[in-house]
Amino acid sequence: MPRQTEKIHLLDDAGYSYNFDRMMYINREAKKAFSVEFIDDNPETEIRSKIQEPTDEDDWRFYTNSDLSEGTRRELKRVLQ
Amino acid sequence: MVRTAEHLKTQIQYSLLPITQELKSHETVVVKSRVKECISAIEALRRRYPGTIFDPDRPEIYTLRTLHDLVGIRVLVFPASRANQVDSYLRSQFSDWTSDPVIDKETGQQLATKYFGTYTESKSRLICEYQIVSTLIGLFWEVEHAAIYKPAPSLKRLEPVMREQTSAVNSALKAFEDEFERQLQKAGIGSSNG
Repeated sequence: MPRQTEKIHLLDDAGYSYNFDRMMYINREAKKAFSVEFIDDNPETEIRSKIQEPTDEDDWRFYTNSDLSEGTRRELKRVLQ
Repeated sequence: MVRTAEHLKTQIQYSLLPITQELKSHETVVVKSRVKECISAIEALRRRYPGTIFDPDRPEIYTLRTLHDLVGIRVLVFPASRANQVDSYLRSQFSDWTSDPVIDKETGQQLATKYFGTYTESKSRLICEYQIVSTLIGLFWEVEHAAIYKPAPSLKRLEPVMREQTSAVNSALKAFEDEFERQLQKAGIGSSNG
């Protein structure tokens, strides 16, 4: 099975779903979101570790290849509410 | 942009004359140009940013001129073995353009060669791109684009979840081409420039 698909299945199993508008895999309960580029460019072990990473329950955590500006982070949180 | 597209297309067709004039009856080299539509360009720019979000605090950093394919040329080659020859001819004309091959993210297989650079022959000095792809895969992309993405450019966002299926089609078409060429070689009528 191709490696990219394995990563997607890993996210599916962890309750993430693809958000068409944002092009991210999102789990609203965990308040985490992975960009497609981040998933492409990182190994399965890294994705698994980020899925398991403990978070501050009140705030979203975004896994992206580039740092998000404050404005982008604020806007993303708003649209994901 | 339309003039730039025509200019670049004509230059590429002219550069490829030594190849196109010696094609065998079963071989084809077709050069196509296109100008990206406004809504597709905005959508392409949006997809570059995480969450497809433009930072509302920094609107000045976004410009369509950063896109590499406002003007694009596609060279469709059959059989695929002619692609290397086409690539060599065009590299000599566009030696300072940057290579950015199209890779199937599922298989890691290269599907097309692609280059982008500033087209200095045009007054607008736009960044343009050209790609060289086998005819079968290129025509599949055309049909896919026309049927799915062109009517609604935002549907391009479906690409990540369609990847497995798209990859399967690409692999099947590539297998067809490889076998076709193998049979031509066996029959002694393959391309002389494989």
